[in-house]
Amino acid sequence: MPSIHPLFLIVALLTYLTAMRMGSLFLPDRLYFSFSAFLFDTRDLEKTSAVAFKLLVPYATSCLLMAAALGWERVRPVPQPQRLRSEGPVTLAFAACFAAILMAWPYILLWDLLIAPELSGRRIPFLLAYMFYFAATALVALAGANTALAVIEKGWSSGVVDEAGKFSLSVVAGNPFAKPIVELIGSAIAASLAALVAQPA
Amino acid sequence: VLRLFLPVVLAIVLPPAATLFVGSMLVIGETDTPFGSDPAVGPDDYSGQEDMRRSLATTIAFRAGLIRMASAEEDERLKKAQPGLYDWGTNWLPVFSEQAYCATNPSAVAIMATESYLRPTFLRRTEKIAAEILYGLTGRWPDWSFGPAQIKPSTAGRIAALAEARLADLGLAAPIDRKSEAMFESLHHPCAAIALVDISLAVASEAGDGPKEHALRHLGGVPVPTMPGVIEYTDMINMVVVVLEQAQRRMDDLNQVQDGPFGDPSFIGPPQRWIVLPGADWTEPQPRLCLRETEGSYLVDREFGPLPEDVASVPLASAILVESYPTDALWDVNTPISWDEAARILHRSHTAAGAVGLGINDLRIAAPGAYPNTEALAETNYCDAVLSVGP
Repeated sequence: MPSIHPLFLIVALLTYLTAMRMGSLFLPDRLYFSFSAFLFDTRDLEKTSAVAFKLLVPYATSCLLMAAALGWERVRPVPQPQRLRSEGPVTLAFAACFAAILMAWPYILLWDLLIAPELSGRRIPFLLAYMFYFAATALVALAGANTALAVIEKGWSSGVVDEAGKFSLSVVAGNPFAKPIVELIGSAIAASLAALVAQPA
Repeated sequence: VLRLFLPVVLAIVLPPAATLFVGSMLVIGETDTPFGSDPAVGPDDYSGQEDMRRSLATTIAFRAGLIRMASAEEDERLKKAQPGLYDWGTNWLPVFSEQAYCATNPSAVAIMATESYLRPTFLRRTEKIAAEILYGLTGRWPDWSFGPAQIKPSTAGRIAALAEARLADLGLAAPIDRKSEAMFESLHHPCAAIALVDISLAVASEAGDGPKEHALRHLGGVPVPTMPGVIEYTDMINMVVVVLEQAQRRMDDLNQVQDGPFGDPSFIGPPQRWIVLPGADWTEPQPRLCLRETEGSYLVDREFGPLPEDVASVPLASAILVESYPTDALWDVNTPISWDEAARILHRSHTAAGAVGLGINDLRIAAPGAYPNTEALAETNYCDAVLSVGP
């Protein structure tokens, strides 16, 4: 079980917070995703793309952070070169999840003060939706870090079929891109569950 | 391969588990008693410039569902009604609920809100469960303070005895429901608990008592020593009452600018009524005042007059309250009356006696049918009650 890289965690946390805040400032209004938009906004198509954009920010950020960390390591050799490779993705996932929790925490704690009165009774469903959203953010960040690792470290080293030319799960599992893809699928499932839970009554 | 699909499993399993954890933390920390109808909410800009005591008092009243933030549209109307007065800070408006009628004294409402803020729901529930277990084992309720108003069963018994004595003075003989099970349950019921506080204040209060005196009485007469600078209980109750009164004033200002008949400045209240004077062959006590009931209180509406010289010159020493629609059930010795009913009677008689400058000891409530002519007179004059000078 890889542990968390402390310095990388701090850098990543600050970067995520900045990136998420920038995302909410610079994205056009109709593409900006918020939890109340789940209920008030009925434009389903835009809602989907808004969620995608919302999750794209941590994905891209963790991709860049992982690449930057590996680049930094190349320029300035560190005592344990393997450490960043094993701890980097988990650290980034944790940082992204924590950043998302930090940004949603006022809503969780001051729910009855901040939310529209007609929705105040739906605290627990929304809490569940938040949790799915946090999981989606963590997984998408993990996927981003693993994508960067796969591209930089391994390249397209193996396919999806074995020597006999047959499709094989064990070979798929060895594909460097299998990991981020599964993580992206997990993130998509969590985001859809969040949307499902937060559907207007 | 299993490890590869771990993220998908985690995405589905982890969030519900985390919700269970955080959700239970939120339930444990829950402090709001749904005393009002709905939790009231408004815009999320929240002015922190009011001083700390006022903020705390506002929080207490808000948590109890007694006030709400004004909407943007109401804010606009308030600014129009009183230019310059409501330009700054958050405007709080009262929340109306049927349960507010369980208490008539604003101090009782404030005490209840403050007590339930200081003792969160989860703790109160735990206390109740512990007490029920002890009752099951020993057959006696432990004498702890229970419920949203934090009253001990022994105190409730004392209040009931006092209230019965006071009701007997007024002429009513009906007992108050005092079975131990019913009493224990009523301590936890918001309406009954607040009625108990209300009764204790109505029974013990003296002329000129303010929220601070009421609060001290709820503490049992002994002030809780605090360090200098620490917010004191009676101060807090006083502040909550101030916050509630201010919210009510804002509501009054808001109603002034509402469209419709109430917004019309030429509208000057209900039409004047003609008072029918009793004839010369009148044998019942002399009717002096026509009372109108608003929100559980009696207000003087009109005076019967002009009175004969010999009647008008007699100073008012005692009075009889003749209600136009008396409740027969209150006069049945065999049916116990509820806490809130007793509280309402006491409050009504307090306000009726106060309207003529008398103490509650100088007032008597007439039994239904005791003075049929006065009852008929009240009805023809549209009075909710008539205050007569007793023989």
